[in-house]
This record gives sequence, structure tokens and C-alpha cells, in this order.
Amino acid sequence: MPKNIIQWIRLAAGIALIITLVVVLGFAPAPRQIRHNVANDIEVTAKFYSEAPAIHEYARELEAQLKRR
Amino acid sequence: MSEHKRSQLFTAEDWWAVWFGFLVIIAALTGVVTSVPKLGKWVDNPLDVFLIIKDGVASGNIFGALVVLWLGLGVLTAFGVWAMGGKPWRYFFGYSAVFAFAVVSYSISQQQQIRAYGLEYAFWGLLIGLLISNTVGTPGWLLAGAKTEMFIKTGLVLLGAEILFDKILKLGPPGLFVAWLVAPTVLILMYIFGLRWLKMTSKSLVMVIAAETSVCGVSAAIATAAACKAKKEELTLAVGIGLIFTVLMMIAMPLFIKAVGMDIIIGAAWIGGTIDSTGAVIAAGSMLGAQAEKVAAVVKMVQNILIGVVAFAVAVYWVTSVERDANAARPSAMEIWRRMPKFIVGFIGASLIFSFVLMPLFGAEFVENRILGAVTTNCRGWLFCLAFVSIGLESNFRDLASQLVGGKPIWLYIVGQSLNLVLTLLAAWLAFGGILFPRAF
Repeated sequence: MPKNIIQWIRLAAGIALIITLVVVLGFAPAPRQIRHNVANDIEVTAKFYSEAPAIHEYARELEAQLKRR
Repeated sequence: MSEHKRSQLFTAEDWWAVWFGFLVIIAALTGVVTSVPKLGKWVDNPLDVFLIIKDGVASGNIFGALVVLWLGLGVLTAFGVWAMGGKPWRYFFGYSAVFAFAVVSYSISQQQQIRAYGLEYAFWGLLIGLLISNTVGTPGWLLAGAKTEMFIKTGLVLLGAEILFDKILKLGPPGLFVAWLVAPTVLILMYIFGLRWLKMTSKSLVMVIAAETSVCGVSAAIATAAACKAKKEELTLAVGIGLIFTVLMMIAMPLFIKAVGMDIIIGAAWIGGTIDSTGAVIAAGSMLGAQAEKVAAVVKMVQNILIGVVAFAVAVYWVTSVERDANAARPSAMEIWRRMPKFIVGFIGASLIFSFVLMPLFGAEFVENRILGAVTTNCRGWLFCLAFVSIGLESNFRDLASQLVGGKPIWLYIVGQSLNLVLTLLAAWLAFGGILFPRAF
């Protein structure tokens, strides 16, 4: 078989593999932690200060405490 | 200023990264750019990523904004390519394809359940790039647009803006104790272990894996890799190992903490100090409750500041020790400056300006929502996504496999992470268990 046909077959197989991975990770039953994240819409890919609601809340609490003192 | 220095400022990629980063920041500050599009989430229809959802109803789409982003980033970076002596049209053509692959990678990572696993765009970008380069091969016209270094360094300057010293330092000594004591200790011990015990030959690979494990995952790996001039395959390997173990730890650690009946606040600090990705830390912490989520987030955020410190220290160490000829004299301050990767200046500069000038001047609300949240964070995300697609396009499995000799990088990660787990647990018990500091929760 010509080399370039083998390359294209490999590409097609790779695309099929990625699609399978997406389907399995995206739609197959997941562990409890993952279901918890989905149910609570937790930003697992969140980054840093600007996207983390928990730290905003804590920072506000801390500032309020400091003002009270 | 000498002719040489002037030309460096406008011909070196590092300096262009600084100019691009600050141009985006100035555009956001002056209101020229008010938002950079972010893909939405999807459950079963991938096209939902292009919808703008308000109160649960689609109120428009981001197609126009994406076209503006593609053109804006493309024209800006093409100008830099031209100034550095490249062919801007050839670059723009390749960049457009890389951008399209970045949109696909980002879209996959936005699927609801895939997001919950924490498999970020970095993973999908690498996978798609590697698929092309290892099957049909990356054509020359596409490689011309894969400007990995330029995307990474510009993204790092924008990342600097997100590392806000002032706010984090207010968050209390216990978090600082756990994050700032253990992370540098683990980083140094992993570096020594990798070189002396495992006898790994690539110092940059050891350093990138050590930073990835001890500080905060992908971002730390990128920043350190740029600081120690690591190969693309080394960064790919470090990020790949880290992403897989992050998912495992995010699932296993809350289960373990509950199973052994550990104090959840100590457990949360333990999670914050050990799991690599910030998002995964918050997800794992939330399994233990609202207070635990906050503690885990605080420890992680304090640790995140270390990216800047570590990147700077690694750059100085590389210039003064690793790259230095054993017989040569100690380099002068000028020599260190000359060899130092210049994007570090933009990275640290952006962090300091945002922390100590813009936050006090404009207030946290404006800076966090209008500048960071609406513009720079999203722009940085796109640049890193472009970078990971580019790395995949430029890498091949043979080079990657050559980095994996005897599984040493994986052993380095496992041993380093185990040490991290033990030391962080001890520090969390001392800091959050009421031993060194009064209990806050």
C-alpha cells in the first residue's frame, strides 16, 4: 500500500480514537466525584484568583473581619 | 541606548511577548477591548459552545467575536513575525488553521462531563496536534503558524496579571505556611532526586516536572519550561503526566479523607497543597463541604503566587549555574540580565503593576471583572490553547518516547508527589490543626 494511504488511514483511526474518548468521557457513567462536579457545576478547569468564587467569598469575609477589628 | 539593545527590543521574541501582553492589558484598561470571547458549555450538542446564555436562554452567539479575536490576535502576532524577519502572510495562513484546531480543542474541553474530569484544552490541543504530526505529518504552511514560544510567552505575561500578591497575602499565615514552605522544599528535593538518584540527563525535564508537581500544574510547567528553555517534548511529557494524576487525585483524595475520618479542614489544606490544578482543588475540596472548599482554595491560591517566584528563580539559576561554563568566572549582573529570558520582566511586571498599582487605583471589582475576568484571562486561555496545538504539531511520538527512557519521568513524578503528600499533610496538621496557629474554622 502506498505510504500516504497508510498515513491517511492512521489519521482516520486517530480521529476515531479521539471521538471515542470524547464519547466515553462525556457520556459514559462517571465516578461519584465527577457526578458531584457536574451536579454542582464546579469549574474544574477554573484558573486562579479571578475565576475562583470560593476565594472571593473568603477574601470578603476576611476584609469584613479586619474592618470590625 | 545602544543600537544592539534597540534592535533586541524589536527583534527578539521575548520582547515581542512583553509588548503584545501589555498591549492587550492597555487595550482592556482603556476600554478599547471590553471582552474576549469564551466558549460556553455543552451537554449533548457541541455547537452550544457558540451560544451566549443569559438566565438559561440563548440570547445570541459569539461567532462575530471569535472572528474578531482570530483577526485581532492574528494581525497583532503577524506584525511581530514581520518585525522579527518572518513572512507575515505565510504565518497568518498557518495561524488560521492552528486557531481552528484551538477552537475544536477548547470546544471538546467544554463538554459538561469532560469539564468535570478536569481534562483541559491543553490535553485536547496536544492530542489533536500530535495526531496530525504523527499521521500525515505537519505540512510546512501549517508549521509556519505554530509559533509555540510566542503564544506561550505572551500568555505568560497575561498570566502575571492574574497573580495578585496583595490580596493573597491578606489570606492568612496558615495558608502561607502550608503553600510556601512545602512547595519549594519539594521542588528542590525532586530536582536533586531526579539528577542524583534517577540520573536523568535532562536538567530542564527534571525541573519542569518538579515545578509541575510542587507548584500548580500546567501553568507552573509552562512558566518554568520557558524559564529553563526546556524542549517542547519535555513540556508535553510533564503536562501529560500531571493532567492524568490530577484527575486520579481529585477523585481519590476526598474519598480517602472521608474513609479515614480525617479532620476535613486539615484534609482540605492537604488537598490545596497537593493537587496540581486550581479547579481540581476546588472540586475536590467541595466534596468535603463549603468550608473545606474555601480552605483548599486559599492554600492553592497562595501557592499559585509561587509561579512568578519560581519562574524568576529558575531563570536566574539557569543563567548563573546550568548554562555557565564550569571554568568561567561568575557572570556579572549585566551578563545575567543579557541571558535572562525577557518575558520574565513582563510576567513579574504585570503581576506587580496589577497587585500594587491597578488594584488600589481602580478597585478589585473593576480589575477582577472588567480587566481580568472579561479580557486578559480569556485571552491567555486562547494563547495557551494555540500553544498546545502548536506543540502537538511540532512533536512526534519518537521524540516523546525518547524522553521516557526507563519510565524515569513517571517515577520522578510519583516519588515527588508522594513526598509532597507526606510533607503537606504534616504542614496542614501543624497550620490548620490548631498547633501553630489558632483554628480559624
